Amino acid sequence: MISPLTSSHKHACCVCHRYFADADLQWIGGRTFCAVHHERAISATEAKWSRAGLLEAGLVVLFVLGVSLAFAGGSLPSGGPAALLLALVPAAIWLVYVYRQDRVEPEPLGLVLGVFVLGGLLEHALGDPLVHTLLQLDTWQHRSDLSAWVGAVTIEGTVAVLCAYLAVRYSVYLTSEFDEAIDGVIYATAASLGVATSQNFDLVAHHDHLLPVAGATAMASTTLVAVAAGSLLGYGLGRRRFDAKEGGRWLAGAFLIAAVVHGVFHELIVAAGTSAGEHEPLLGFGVAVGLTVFVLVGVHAITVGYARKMLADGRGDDVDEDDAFEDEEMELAS
Amino acid sequence: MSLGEDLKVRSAPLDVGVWLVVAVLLGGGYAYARAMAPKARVVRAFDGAVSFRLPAGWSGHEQGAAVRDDESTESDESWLDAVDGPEAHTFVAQLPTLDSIVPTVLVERASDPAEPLGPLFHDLEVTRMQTARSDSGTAYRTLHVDERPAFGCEKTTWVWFAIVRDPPHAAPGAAVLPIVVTGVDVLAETASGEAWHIAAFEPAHASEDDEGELRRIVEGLRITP
Repeated sequence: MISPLTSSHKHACCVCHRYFADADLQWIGGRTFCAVHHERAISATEAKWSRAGLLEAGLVVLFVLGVSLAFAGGSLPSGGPAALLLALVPAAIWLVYVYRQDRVEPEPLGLVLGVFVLGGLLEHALGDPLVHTLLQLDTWQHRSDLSAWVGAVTIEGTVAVLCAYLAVRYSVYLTSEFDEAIDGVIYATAASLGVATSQNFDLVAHHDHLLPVAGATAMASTTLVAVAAGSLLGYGLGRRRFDAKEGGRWLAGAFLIAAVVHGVFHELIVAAGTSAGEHEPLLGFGVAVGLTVFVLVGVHAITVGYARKMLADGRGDDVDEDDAFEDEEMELAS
Repeated sequence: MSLGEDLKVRSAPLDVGVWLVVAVLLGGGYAYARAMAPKARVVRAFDGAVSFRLPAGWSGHEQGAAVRDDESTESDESWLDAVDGPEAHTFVAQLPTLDSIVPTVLVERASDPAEPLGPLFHDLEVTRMQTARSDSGTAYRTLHVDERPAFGCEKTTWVWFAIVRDPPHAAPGAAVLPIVVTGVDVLAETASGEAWHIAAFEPAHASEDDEGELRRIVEGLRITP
């Protein structure tokens, strides 16, 4: 039985943060693991496919079905607590999925939830007024098809991704807990889901007589778009944090692609759900589910790819433990 | 680990690239919106005797004759299509909304140009104007009366009013909320001996933007002396 030691020892497990003798520690990607968490990390990277994503996709479909049946013949409640609950369910489903992606070193749940809440608050306090009051998107987005796409990408997508970026970049990103590139995906997606939850809450709370199928599919689709854009942004944040030379370009590029994906996915879902002037929410939701598969494959590939890379690095002698900030500080000093 | 334990915070340089992307995207979207926004246009009616500057989103047509739209991109044919009511000679400008009563400006000739204008005509015409307005609803109230030069005319009489009306197409006695309408009836007399009736009204408690546009349209109206 390996027993944890005191903090006078040099290294602690990066998951449980308990101190162990060097002989009892294993190294992956420059970080130390106790025997239990090392075994868990190794087994996590050996999985070729995660059932978690499929499970959550099924849960989102169940959410749509459940809401549609529960409020069949009526409309969604627009009251505060009920609206908040409805907005939280799809976000919670995806939050669990995203949280489980970091198999090597799971992030503190409190920090993930904190970033999620911060994203929602930023959307409510900054994003919503910026889009609807300052830039008045509602007054020009529907003038033409082109206006709809331009507005979705340059305004809606950009502001949503900006809120998620701010929520991560000026909070957990600056802390030592952001210690691997995949953390960017975790936190940015959580923040993006917070933004989506705020938008979903506004949708339900500010629209009386919202039809159940339309409302449920809209909320589920919004969270899907958030997962896609958030994971892309997070990849850029991770590269920025641990790549001093090219990280800035990676982040700017990732931000741009995330904003484009956010806007394009949103408009694709809207276009699919609108056929010959008729609203077909289930068709739009079908496209959203199709996009989900794309998102799941992408996020899974990124996650496992990073984990395997770290495993291949072993103790990580070739991996610089200092991050991009310190490299830049040294460059500035010289 | 509990939050805060072993959590080190450090500073980080500004992500210039990200902010450049944000500026380009938001700036581009805003510039596109400005470029595509419908422009205010000058509309002339009554063979050019009356001219308006209609803000974006407002529609205007003359009932009984074609309207020449100086800055509209639409062809004359499309404007002729919008003309209706060949008997009347009234110019109607409205802000189309889903409300049952929308912000509206009306202009019509108030007299036969062959008849001379004078104090008697003025008093009779103002009375006729108020009676006609009173008959269009219930609880008619004159809020304020003013006389001043406007529209390029030396003498105009402004009668601000409030009235209660049923929504259009509501059956008599239907269980619908009546609408309080506020507005102004103006009698304008030109130096050449013509008289015009200008009316502007909207539902009470309309948005400040709509109210401002309505006021600007009326104040910007020009009548050839």
